[in-house]
Amino acid sequence: MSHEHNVTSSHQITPDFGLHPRLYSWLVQYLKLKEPVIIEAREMGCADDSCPIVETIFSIVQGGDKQYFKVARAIKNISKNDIYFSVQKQVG
Amino acid sequence: MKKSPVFSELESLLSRRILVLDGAMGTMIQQYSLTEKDFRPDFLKDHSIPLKGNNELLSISRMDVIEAIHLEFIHAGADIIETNTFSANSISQNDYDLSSFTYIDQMNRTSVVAARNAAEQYYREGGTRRIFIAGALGPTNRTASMSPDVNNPAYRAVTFEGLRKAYYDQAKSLLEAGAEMLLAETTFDTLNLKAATYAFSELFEERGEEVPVMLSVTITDASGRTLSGQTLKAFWYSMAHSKPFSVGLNCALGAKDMLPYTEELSRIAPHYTSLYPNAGLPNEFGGYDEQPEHFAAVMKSYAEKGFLNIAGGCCGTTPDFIRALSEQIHGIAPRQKPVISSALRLSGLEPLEAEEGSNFLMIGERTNVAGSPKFKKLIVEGKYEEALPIARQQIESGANIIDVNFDEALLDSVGAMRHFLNLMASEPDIARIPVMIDSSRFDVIEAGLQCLQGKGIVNSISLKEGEEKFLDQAQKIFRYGAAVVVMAFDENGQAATREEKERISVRAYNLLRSIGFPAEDIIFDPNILTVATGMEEHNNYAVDFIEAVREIKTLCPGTRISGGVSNISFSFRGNNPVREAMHSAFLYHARRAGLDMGIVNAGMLAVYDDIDTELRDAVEDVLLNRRSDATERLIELSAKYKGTKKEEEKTSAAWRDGSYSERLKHALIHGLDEFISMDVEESYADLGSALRVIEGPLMDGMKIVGEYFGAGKMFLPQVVKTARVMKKAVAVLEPYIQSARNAGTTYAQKTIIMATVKGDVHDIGKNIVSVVLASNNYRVVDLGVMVPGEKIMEAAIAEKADAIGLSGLITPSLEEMVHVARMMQEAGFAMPLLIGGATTSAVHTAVKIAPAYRGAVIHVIDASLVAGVLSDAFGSGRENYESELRAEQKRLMDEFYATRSTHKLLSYVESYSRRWMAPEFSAAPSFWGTRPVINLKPDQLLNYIDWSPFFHTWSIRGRYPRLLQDPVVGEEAKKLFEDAKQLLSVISAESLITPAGVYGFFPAASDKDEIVIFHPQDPQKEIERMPMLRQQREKEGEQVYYSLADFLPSVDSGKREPLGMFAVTAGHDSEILSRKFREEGDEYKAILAAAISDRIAEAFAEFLHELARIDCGLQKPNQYTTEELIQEKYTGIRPAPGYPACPDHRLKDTVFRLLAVAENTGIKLTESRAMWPASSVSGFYFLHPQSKYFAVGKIAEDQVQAYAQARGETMEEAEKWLAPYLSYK
Repeated sequence: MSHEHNVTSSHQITPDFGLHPRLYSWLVQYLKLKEPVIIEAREMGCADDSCPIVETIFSIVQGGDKQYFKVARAIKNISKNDIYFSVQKQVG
Repeated sequence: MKKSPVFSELESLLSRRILVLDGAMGTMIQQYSLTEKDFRPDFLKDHSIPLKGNNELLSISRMDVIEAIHLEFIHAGADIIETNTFSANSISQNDYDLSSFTYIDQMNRTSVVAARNAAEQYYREGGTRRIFIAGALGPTNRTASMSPDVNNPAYRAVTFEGLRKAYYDQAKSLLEAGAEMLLAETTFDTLNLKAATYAFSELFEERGEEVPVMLSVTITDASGRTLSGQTLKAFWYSMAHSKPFSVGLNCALGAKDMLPYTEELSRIAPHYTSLYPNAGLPNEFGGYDEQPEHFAAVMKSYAEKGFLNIAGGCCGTTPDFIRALSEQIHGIAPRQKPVISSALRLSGLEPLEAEEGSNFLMIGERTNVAGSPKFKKLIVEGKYEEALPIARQQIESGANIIDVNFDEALLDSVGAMRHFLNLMASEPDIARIPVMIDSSRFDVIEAGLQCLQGKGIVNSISLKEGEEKFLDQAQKIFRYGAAVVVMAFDENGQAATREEKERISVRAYNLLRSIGFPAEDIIFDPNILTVATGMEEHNNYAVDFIEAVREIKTLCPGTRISGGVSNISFSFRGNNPVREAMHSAFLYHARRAGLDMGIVNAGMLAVYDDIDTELRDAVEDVLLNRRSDATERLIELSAKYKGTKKEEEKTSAAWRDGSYSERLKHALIHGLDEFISMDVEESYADLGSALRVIEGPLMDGMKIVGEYFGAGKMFLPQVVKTARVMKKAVAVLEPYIQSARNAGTTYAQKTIIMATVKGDVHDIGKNIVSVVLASNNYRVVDLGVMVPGEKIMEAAIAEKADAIGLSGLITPSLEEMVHVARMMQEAGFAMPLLIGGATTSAVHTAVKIAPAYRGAVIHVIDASLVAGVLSDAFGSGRENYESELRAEQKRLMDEFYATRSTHKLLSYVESYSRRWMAPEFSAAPSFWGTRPVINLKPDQLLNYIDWSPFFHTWSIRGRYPRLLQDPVVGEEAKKLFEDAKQLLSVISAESLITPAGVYGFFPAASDKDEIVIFHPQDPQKEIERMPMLRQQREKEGEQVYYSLADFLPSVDSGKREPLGMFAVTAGHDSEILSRKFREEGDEYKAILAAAISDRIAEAFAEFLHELARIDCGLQKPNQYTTEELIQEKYTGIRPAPGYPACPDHRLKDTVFRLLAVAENTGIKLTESRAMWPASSVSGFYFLHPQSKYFAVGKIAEDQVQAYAQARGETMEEAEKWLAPYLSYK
């Protein structure tokens, strides 16, 4: 059986993003984003029902460039630490 | 407590082979396509909440399915099967309204039965493998160290106590039903796991028997850390106290992505290790294609590397995966558990390791309501978030550990401790270091311990209330996994004399050791008491403390010593200069006696050598009780120093009174950035244009900097600091510049593309040049290292470059620069091309690069000259400058060819006939083959550092330490050195750099000019040949023409002598550190970190060379001082490929092959054979006492032909690599 991840939700994140009011500002701060920027988030959970791992994948569109950035947590639970350390690992 | 017999059964098997764990229960259940009805046992048929997906219920309602899955995994080769109980705990089951103990107990018990039934079925079928049943405990669906409410970071959805109880209940049911071991897995929050092991420990004590506990943590690829933010090492330091049977990794990642983590865990954990990854890593679209064979092949490679004791699979791994795994690892020897040296190992989100003799640890004291009125005021007023910067400030000032204290009558100390620690945990820059929980109340201490996922320190416990209470508290602290400070108090009160301090400490030590408290986690505080009180009996307090420190270290081996340093100077409250001098002098003496750490105001410590001699003598008279009138004399003298600091501060703040132009100039010249935003905004408000601010006050300041720099009144380190300020100033103006651009106003600024060329990784020089350019208002586009010519061309066009700067350190880069010059020519460019780097030269630029390109090709010999060069190249006298440049390059070219024709080269045959004949020599290394050197700390290398090249990096010439006294550069060199030492101490204390190395010895001989290398265990079996180059340029009066091959016996003699090889690196962390500073906009520290990393790599090479000489019996330990090592007083040489004695960089290939350098150290070679990370060194050891360094120099075509033939390559290929050494091209 393949081990697929299920897309569980998808959102566009704005400064007044309802689910998570601070996420936009943390992403802008730690990824050093300059506005205007479009950030979309997609949550994916492991296809194994008993697996607790959920990932959120952000696609960031800025000035015609698109980049992806991952955090290993559901959107509503993402903390400042998650953004900080994920930036360190993925953006360097 | 007795151990269950399962321990010995497992250990016996694990001594022979890797045990196999089963695969994914959840994945297998999904294959059965079960319906809601399947998930409902009779007693839940009317349950109001849907139960489909609650897999644990299937052990009751469809035990046949669970048994069948277990049996499939057993048939596939699993030795250990996990019960179907991942979420069978009261917290997770709360989602289904099934959290009552009755349900939890039944789920766990029936799950164990299902597993046992499967095992028994296997035995009935004739199966002979012993099947172990592990009770699986998941992480629950809540986290104890993170808030689910982003608006309230101090909130927690679950408490430590709630978790402890849930784990206790589940583990009890599992063990009572017959589980033989416990497996706490998929740990994403270390604090949850701490609650689990706390519960296990209680349960074992009650049952009187301990069963094996397996711990397994989940690291995510997104952050390379646990989900709660800890690095793997920090996680392990948090959990090591629980002494698990095994520790490992599972979930989130596929096997191939687990490599760095499984390697690290295998190295640092002295227990069995396990690994059960997912069936690969999903791509961003959720797709996944990994096959069992690939999974098993990767796992096999880990097993072969010696990383594994227990292996299995997590999400997605079906019996096919486990079968393939079992087959692939069959017959591979299991990992040998390493012996880990004793050290105090603490953690926040990151690890902190303090071995005996390592750097002094500073414990920040300002987050203490008893020590900081400011902190107390904020806490009492409930302004916790506003108090966080006090913690941050301590860390920025160098605190390694942060002390937190809420002992204040007006406070709910328990609540305050919880709230503040939870808040701290949400701040990544604070949470990274360990916490010291400071309270005189044990309930406050326990509340604090229940909030820490890292390993912290409890401050403190004592024998004040007798042994029983002392041991009870110590036992709890041990269970929580913290280190402890033991105060020198007993039932009779505080220890004041040396004898009392020693007696109480030894008594406490023996008691703690009797309950198994690790010696390395015991920290004694033998009471630093106030001196100079006017009472004679207090005069010897400092001496008593210092002597007690020395004695306790001997009597209580393995322990650490701490103290509250500010106590010593209470008599001089209100006189900070005297207090700082007392703290500094006291620490100087106490540290030499063995004091390991102290609670200090990390931002306020004078440098011992900087204390005014008169004050220092008076302070030391008091501290060391050297004269009876010491106190009176210090009191008298103190009046002179009172307020000194304030006066200085007043004077130093006077520059703030000037106009904004004056302030900006001052800030730029002195590298001060504290007020830059404010001053720039003020000037913008006045001048109304960003351009005017830049071209006005900022450029005025930069012009002065330029003048001072040109006149030798300022030095490179200062210019780099200036650039940092300029960068911040421009950043403030950036939005205004952007709006001006949008409005159509343009700001003319020259753009320079900077790059280290393809194949090369060295960038310190390039970065310095970039900073100098930026500080001169050039726009720098830095393309980084290993940049192919095509990318440079693209960037030059896209960025509308006005000039290109190329840098490189290794000789193949010279050819690459010629290549880029040709590309520029073909692209029709005419902009200036700057050439820089250690191996570049004005001659090479003139002879090879300039002729390839029509534009000006300028060799920049020193970073300090680049601004002047470009000013000429872009200025009004540009044509004259270019014409002079070309004339000079023509002269150099003519001279080169004229000189070359006068240099006679011997024929290769003749030079070989005049080779050096080595007198017979013999050395026997203590081992043959390779030996990795790991776990080396930067501070172990300090004594091997040659600082002179560090200063050369910054264009400060001369020899260290003499250059510090130089009348011109001395002062700036001292400042630079202080900054370097400070950064180095942070690097050491926080292990920010992780050096790695490998060396080895191989039997070798020479066959003419080829070095023949033989198998380390069979000196007749040839394994490699390395052709070496020989000097050919005629030397007047010199009879000998050297090749490195001369330093080994001839192969015909039948003799073999050891040829050593080595490779060392400051590690990839050094690159990360430098990059981190650069991203923070601190180019000065970025360059400083890179320059220090280079020194550490070189020091490591020196250290390892000494080790190699000791291994071969050619030197005794500590025979040479650092100075003697730098002067190479020892015998033998360590030439490096690419350097004059063996100029072909490709010789590194042999070193890398034979020593498995990439695997052992992580160093990689680029296509030009530069080593990455850049702070790396590799080479050979020639042991013959008369071996010496020499330069091969220019060589003739006849030797190149022979060389190419010996290497089995074309002339063209050999000429390409030896280009700078050819006499004929």
